[in-house]
This record gives sequence, C-alpha cells and structure tokens, in this order.
Amino acid sequence: MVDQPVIVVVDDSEIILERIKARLEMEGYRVITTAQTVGAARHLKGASLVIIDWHMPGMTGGDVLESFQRAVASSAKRPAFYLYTSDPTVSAAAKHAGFDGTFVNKGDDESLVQQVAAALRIAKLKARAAPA
Amino acid sequence: MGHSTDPVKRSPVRAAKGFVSVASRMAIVIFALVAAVSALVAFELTRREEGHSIESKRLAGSMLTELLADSIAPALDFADGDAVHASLTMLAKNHDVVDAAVWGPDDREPLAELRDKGPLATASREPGIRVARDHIDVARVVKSPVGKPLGTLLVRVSLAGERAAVVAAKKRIFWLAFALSALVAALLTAVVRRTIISPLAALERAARRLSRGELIEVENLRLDEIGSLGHTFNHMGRAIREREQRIYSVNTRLQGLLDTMRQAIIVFDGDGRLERERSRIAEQLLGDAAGPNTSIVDILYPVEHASGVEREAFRAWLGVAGAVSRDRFDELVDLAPKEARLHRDDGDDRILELEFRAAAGDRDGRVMLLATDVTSQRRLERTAEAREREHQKQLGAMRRLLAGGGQVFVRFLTSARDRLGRAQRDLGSPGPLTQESVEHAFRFVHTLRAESRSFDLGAVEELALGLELELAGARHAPPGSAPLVVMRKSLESGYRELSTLLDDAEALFVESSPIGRRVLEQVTVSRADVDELMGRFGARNDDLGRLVSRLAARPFGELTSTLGDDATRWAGKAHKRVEVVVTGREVLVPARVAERLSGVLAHLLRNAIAHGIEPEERRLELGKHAVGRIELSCREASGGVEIRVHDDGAGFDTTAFAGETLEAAFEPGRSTRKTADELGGFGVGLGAVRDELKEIGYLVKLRSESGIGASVLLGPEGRATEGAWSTSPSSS
Repeated sequence: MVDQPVIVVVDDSEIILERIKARLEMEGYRVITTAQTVGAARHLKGASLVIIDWHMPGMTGGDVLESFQRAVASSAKRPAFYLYTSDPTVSAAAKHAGFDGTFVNKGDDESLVQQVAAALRIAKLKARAAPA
Repeated sequence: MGHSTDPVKRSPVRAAKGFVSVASRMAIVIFALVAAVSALVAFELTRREEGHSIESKRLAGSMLTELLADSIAPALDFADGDAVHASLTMLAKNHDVVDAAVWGPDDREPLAELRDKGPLATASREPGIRVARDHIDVARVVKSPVGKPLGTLLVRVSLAGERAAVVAAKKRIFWLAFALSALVAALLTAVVRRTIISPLAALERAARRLSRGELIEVENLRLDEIGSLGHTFNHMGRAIREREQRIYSVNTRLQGLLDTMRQAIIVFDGDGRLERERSRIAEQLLGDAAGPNTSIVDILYPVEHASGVEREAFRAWLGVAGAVSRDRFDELVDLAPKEARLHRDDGDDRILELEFRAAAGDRDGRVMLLATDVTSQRRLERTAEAREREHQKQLGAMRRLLAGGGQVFVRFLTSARDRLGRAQRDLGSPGPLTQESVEHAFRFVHTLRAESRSFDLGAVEELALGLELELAGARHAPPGSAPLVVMRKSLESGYRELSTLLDDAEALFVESSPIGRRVLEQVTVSRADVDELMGRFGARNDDLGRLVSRLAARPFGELTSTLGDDATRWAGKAHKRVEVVVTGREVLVPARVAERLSGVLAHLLRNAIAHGIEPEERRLELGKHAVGRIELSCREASGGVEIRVHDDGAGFDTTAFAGETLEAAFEPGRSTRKTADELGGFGVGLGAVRDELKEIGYLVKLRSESGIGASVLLGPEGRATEGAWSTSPSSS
C-alpha cells in the first residue's frame, strides 16, 4: 500500500477516465483522474506517471503538458509524462512536444496496463542509472 | 596426387608448395651418401692403383736403365758412339720408352740419342729417377768395371698408358657408384614407403575419419614403433568415443529435463541475441521466428505489433542486464517485464508470463528466459471477471429494486410468467403459425422487452428483441408458408429460454434479498395496523392468534440486513477485517424478539470484533484466514427461535476471570479488555443483553474455545440450545 505508484490521468471523457481508473486500480496503482486542467497541477506532487489525452476542449495535450511541466519545474522528483492517443500523427509529434513517450491503442485497457508498467520500469531504470 | 578421392592425397599440407615426401628426402640423402662414399672409395682405390702402376714403371725403367748402362759401358769406355747409338736403337722396340740419350763425361750434347733433338736434350742429367706426370726420367751414371764414370745415361719411360688406364678405371667406378647409389636409394625408399610412409598414411586417413566422427580403428599393426603409434591411436579413438557418448548422454538428459518443463526456455546473450540452448516447448511456441542470433526484443516486442514504450523499456532493461555480473542480476528482476503478448501469424496470439534469470555458463551477460503460456488461464480469468462484473451489475440492479420496493418486481415476474404460459399455449398444435398467433406473440415479446429494460434484465431484453425482429419479418409471410413453420420453432425455443431467464432473474433477486425467498411473498402493510392486530389478537392461543403473530413476525434476514456493512465499518476502525455470514434468513422471528434483536445482535457483533477477532497479522501468524468470520444463525425452536452469534477469533480471554466461569462475563464492570473504546471494554454489555432478553423469556449462554472462537447462544427459556449448529459455507 505504501509504495503504490501514483498515476494522474487527464482526459475530457468521464467514461474513459472511469474505465482507466478501474482497470489501473485493479493492478494496484493509485489513480487520480481529472477532466479539468485548471487546478490539476496540485495532483502532480508525488505522482510517478501522468497520462494526458491530446484532444482536450480549448487546448491540446501539448498545452496541458507545458503547464504541468512548469508546475513541477522546481520539484526534486519529476513524473514521466505520456501521451495517450490512437492518432498516429499526434503520436509521432509527442516526443517533439516534450512527452517522454506515447501510449497507443487507446481503448484497449489490457494494452494500457502493459504500457503503464513499461513506462514505470523505464523511469526506475533511469533513476538507477542516474548519478547519486 | 591429382584427382584422388583419398583424403590423404587431398590433404592441404600435401598440396602445399614445397611439400617433399619423407621417402623422397630419404632417397635423396641416401643417394648422396652412397654416391659420396662410393666416390671416396673409388678415388682411394684408383689412387692406389695408379701409384702401384707408376712404381712398377719406375722399377721397370730403372732396371732397363741399369741393363742399358751396363750394356753401353764398354762402348762408352772406347767412345764408340755408333755402338752406343745401336744399343739405344734397340730401345725403340719398347713402346714404353719415349726417348733415351747418352752423354760423355764432359759432353754438353748427347753422344747418342734415340731421337734426334728429342725431349731429353733439355732434361736434367742428374742421376736419379724423376717421375713426372706422363713420364719417368731415369738418369744413371755409366761406369767402367773399375768404377770410372764414363758418361750419363738418361732414359725416359712413358706413363701415358698408366694414366689412360687410371682415367678409364675412374669412369667405370663413377658409373658403378652412381648405379649402386641409385639402386640402394630406390631399395631403401621402397622399404621406407612400405614400413613407414604407408602405415603413416593409413594413420592419417584414420585420423581424418575420426575427426569426422566415424568409428575407426587401424588394423594390421606391426610390432614396431609405427605399430605402437597405431595402438595409441586406436586407444585415443576409443577414449574420444566414450567421452562423446558421455557428453551426448548428459546433453540428452539435460534436454529431456528442459523439454519436460512446461515453460519455454530460451537463452540469449548480453546483446539480446538468441543462443542455441532452448527447450522443446520454446521450439514449438516460437517456431521459425526464433533462429540463432534472432533478437529477443524482436520476438517479444515486434515493431509491427508492440507498443514503442514496451520495446523501449525492454531494450533499456536488456542494456543493464547484459552488462551486470551474475551475482547482481537479482537486483534487476523486478525491472524486467512480467508478461508479454507473443504475436503469431495465424492470429492465435499467446500471452506469456515471463521470468528472467542469469544463465550459468563461462561468461557473464547471458540471460535465461522462462516463459509460461498463460493464454487459457488469462482468458478464463477475464471471462470470470466479466461475468462477475455482469453479476455484480445485476445484483446492484436488484438491490436498487429492493430498495425501491421488490414487490413491483415480484408482480412483474408473476405477470411475465402468466403471459409466457399463455403465449406458449397460443402456439397451438404443430404446423405453420397463423397470422393471429404471430400478432399475439409480437405484442407479448414487445411488452416484455420494455418491461425487462426497466428492471435492467439485459439478457431477457436481448432475447425479446431478437424474437421481436423475427416476428416483424414473419408478419408479412403468406399463410402456411415455410417462414411461419420456422417462426414456430424459434418461438418454442425462445419461450423455453425466456422461462429459464425469468427463473434466473428470480433466483438472483432472492440471492440479493436479505430475507431470501420470503421477499417473493412480501406485501406492504402498515406497521400501525399490524401492531393493532397484535394488541388485539396476539396473545390468543388459537389459530387467529398464531396467524397474527406470524404477520407481525419479521424474517431474520431483515433484522440482520445492515449488520454486514456495520461490522465491516467497526472492524475497520479497529484495524481488523471481518465478514458476516447469515444463515436462516427466512426464519420468522417473533415480534417481541425482533423488537430487541437488532440492538442485541449489533452489541454482540461489536463484542466479537473488539474481544474475539484478532488483527490480520496475528491471524496469519496463527494460520487463520486474514479475514475474521462472524456467523449469525437462526433456526426455529419450540417457543420461538434460537440464535447463535459465532466468531472464529481468540475465544474469551478467561485470564480476566481467573478462577471463575464464563458466567462472570455477565457481571457489571467485568471486561476482558484492558482499555475501552466505542467498541467495548466498559464491562456493561453482556449483562445488559442478558437482562433485556430475560424480559422476553430468552436466555443467553456463552461458549468459548481458546484460540478457536466463541459463541453466544440465545434461546427461549427451557431450551437447551445445545443442538449442533452447522457452519455456513457461504456469505450473504
């Protein structure tokens, strides 16, 4: 319970948020979901992973990322930011926009579980390799 | 040499430039040696022979000169030149004499000479014998009988014959020596070939065949060094074969061990390249995709089918795992993927559970993957999860129904069954349906579909919709036509299925009801009316009194419906976990007991949680299930009902009542807890419970078994309440 990774999910669809939350909590993660970007930055403290949808009302996932990155700029531990999309053109632009990676096959909950686990492993491997 | 199939002759060493056979070397050496020895011998022999010849000639010349000197001495004494010349002329018949000349004692010119102006004119006349290359000069002083020197005689004898004989002998000897050397060399070469070269070639052929894995032994070995080498070779061959058989046997056992394991076992190097070792299941699972040097990344996460982040994560892990030493590999196990989806071209993708270990071997960086195919298991789990979610969804729907009044649903079930029965009868005798039957059926299923939607009966709704669509099509079919025959069959099987679904819905409804099957008999009545009935007729000891009492009674399940949630909440505050199991939900509890029972049961539950049920960690240490179990049971008894509250906790802690019976627990102020909180510990509960129930003629008894659990038994006065209580296997 103590070491459950915290995952923040940002999407404008409540149905998608509900499904993702239910599935990831089954895997033992603590999941915070929000459809609102305003005030969402407070959830980032202690988060290991942030999953962001691209097509948000009034802004793109890149805008959300930018605001989140400003919010955690001074934090000692920065979460990994991943884009969640099935759009290949958006996916291709993710790294350029500043995301650490992309989760594909949106809607496939099983695939999401595997990709989340992989992203958290990448973060741990990077932390292990980083100089003390 | 040439196009031989003999492996010896095709040997690259033999084909190399500068190869010279041992036999040839020996032949050359032997030839040279024999020739040199022969030449030396011949030289010495001819030299000696030449010496002998020259000596013989010298002696002959000396004798001849002596004789001649003696014969010309008188003539020379009288200075008779003619006589001297005549004597010299006699020498001309001797072909060996080249020239002869005589001088007087003071003559500078020869007195007589065999040849005029011959070679002796300038030769030395010093007495003696002088041997030159091709002649011998013998000079002698001619003396008179009294010893008076009369002159000098010089005779030159030729050595040409001897020299020519020596040259001829040398030539003969040369050719003889050459022939002898060649013969000896050839003979020795033949012997060496037979005794050394051929056996060595045979050994070489045998060695090559052995290197190719053939079973070969050299035969016909002689008793010499080569034969000894052959024996050693055969021994070496046998030893190699034995070792190979042992290695093969070990490998076969190991491979058999790998193959009997239910996991696919693969080994790869630090760069992720597959190595040869693998189990049979790995071969079957991966097929041709897993050849040597294939990348494990491409097998588990092919670019076309896997997500980029999974590939990236595995590559990153591989980079670290391949570089770390074997004894530090365990640090990385948690960072490896636990599961992967193996894509197959036939569409039958497999889900693999992955376990990585450092592979044993002569170098670090090798990794062994044990992959278990859990596809069937996952599918079952997902199917079960989906069904459970569906079931919970239906239960939730039923609970909402109950909360809103289950009687409406009961009326629906009753009505639906009646209409279904009429619809089944309306199908009539076998044969095509009539249009009227079609219309009746259509209206029935159409109404049923709407009703089932309102009660969240998804399966019923779906089936009704299917029948409705078929009936819509059959509406326009000509009378007596085949579609109407088919429609009959569809309706018959559809109605049977509907009946089953309605039964299932009822069973689900009863299952989710706290009062079980009694919910089907519930009606809504006014509590005030019931109380009035009880007041007027409840005390009567006749049928009417008993009927009224039954009306006022309440199902045990109704009284305990909220206790499950309450117990979970109370346990949570005490950092414990419990589940409450209710049996006898349908048993009717008399009104006077029901009024007090909810409070009593709540009190006893709190007691059980506070005093009996252990914390989760303690329960696990004791080998118990982490979640404590509290059973609330009710059964009919003469004069009322018997109720038992049983927990599988620690039992009553009798050290608090040292030396006394459990009855002491009922005394005011007595508690087994050292501290008090909202759950208990004030020492007032059990006594109050007993007093309250005593007012209505019920007794309370305690039973406890240390470490096993405790029971509180409630029953009418005069009942033993000792009959066996069965343990319920299910929870409500």
